[in-house]
Amino acid sequence: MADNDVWILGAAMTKFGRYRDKDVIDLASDASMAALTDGGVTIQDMDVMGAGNLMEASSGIGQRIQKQIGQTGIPVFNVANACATGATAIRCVYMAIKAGEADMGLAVGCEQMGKAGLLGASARSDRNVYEPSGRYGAVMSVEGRLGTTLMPGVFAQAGIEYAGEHNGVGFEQFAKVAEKNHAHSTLNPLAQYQKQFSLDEVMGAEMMAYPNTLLMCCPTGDGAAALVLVSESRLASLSDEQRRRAVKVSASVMTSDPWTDGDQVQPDVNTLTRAAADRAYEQSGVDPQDLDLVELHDCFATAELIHYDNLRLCAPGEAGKFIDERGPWRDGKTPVNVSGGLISKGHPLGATGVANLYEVATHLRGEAGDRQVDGAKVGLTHVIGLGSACAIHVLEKAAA
Amino acid sequence: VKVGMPVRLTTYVAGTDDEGTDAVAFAYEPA
Repeated sequence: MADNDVWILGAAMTKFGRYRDKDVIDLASDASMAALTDGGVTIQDMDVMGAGNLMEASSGIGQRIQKQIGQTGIPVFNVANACATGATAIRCVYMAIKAGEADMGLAVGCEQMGKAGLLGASARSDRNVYEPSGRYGAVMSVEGRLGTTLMPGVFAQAGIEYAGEHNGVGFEQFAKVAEKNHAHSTLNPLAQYQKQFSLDEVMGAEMMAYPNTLLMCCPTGDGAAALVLVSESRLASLSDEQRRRAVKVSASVMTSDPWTDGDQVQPDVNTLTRAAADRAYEQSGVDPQDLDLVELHDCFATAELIHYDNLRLCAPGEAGKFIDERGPWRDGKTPVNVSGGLISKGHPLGATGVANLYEVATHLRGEAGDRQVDGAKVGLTHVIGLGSACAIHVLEKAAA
Repeated sequence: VKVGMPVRLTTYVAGTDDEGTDAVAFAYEPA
């Protein structure tokens, strides 16, 4: 191992849900303190901090958290990168350690959304006189007329596009993804929802954007997650117990959209994911078939299905067959979203890209309780922030 | 209309405001 390999020393997350009696700083502080305790360290040991939050992105979220958990004068990187915000905070700490500027750092992602409703939707206006505005002098929104940037529409279209190009993919295959994730969440006490639904109930729920029904869409919510990252050399100086529970970050990759034809009109969630996956597998030396579990960005059921293919979890074009054969179930070939995923664990935007590493790390430590994937040694996390940013991490269990 | 069918870019009147001004938008139509 190289001296500057990066490891997860501590990991924690709050239960996702709706917190009327706490604010986002409370949630972030709870997760941060829990991660520090989990790692057997304190804020005094941190050399750097990455703080991810979307809804209060310009509020100095990291410094506000420090006022609760300890102001030690370390550099803080406040980041916002759509749904990849949490992973971006991790990347800040990871890169600081890789660069040799830090030995240990805290990454936290947090969000308080409440019942935010449909993100990106604008209020209707009674006024009906056109006035050119914006970069192109538009007099009306093109939303829904030439593509869509609303999340349900983007991911519905991505799913339908995949279904149109491959046999054996339709409404039922997409619905099976949500059936699985709702079932998985019943074993996760930190999930926002822990309720099982039949395939008929999923398919019969209110249609939001075909083929995604209400039960195939992630909810809004509140929550936070935090990691303590440490360099290989610093880890070597810590206790046997800390080293035994440490989880290696074998790959940390972030991509944005390369130029593609269609992406000029409709967000392309595939190309940057495939690019990130290729780099992550190369960086880690891990083959997709070796993965014991995956936490991927199932903001909608259609998203999860197409990412089976993008992340090479199935043969090319066979994502439908993969879910039909129960490959991504907890007892399947490659368990996907055993946490319940965004669909049922929840999706507090800034927290998501940290919480998925918490989930995989917890399994690699053998500490996932009823939902534990037995014998898990290597796992992958994936997030997409629409617009777009994609982050993939490959994590490996410490050698015995 | 079906997935994968050939289309071409065109324009159409997407709306008219209270003063009678048309908004012209881009769209696709079957090729």
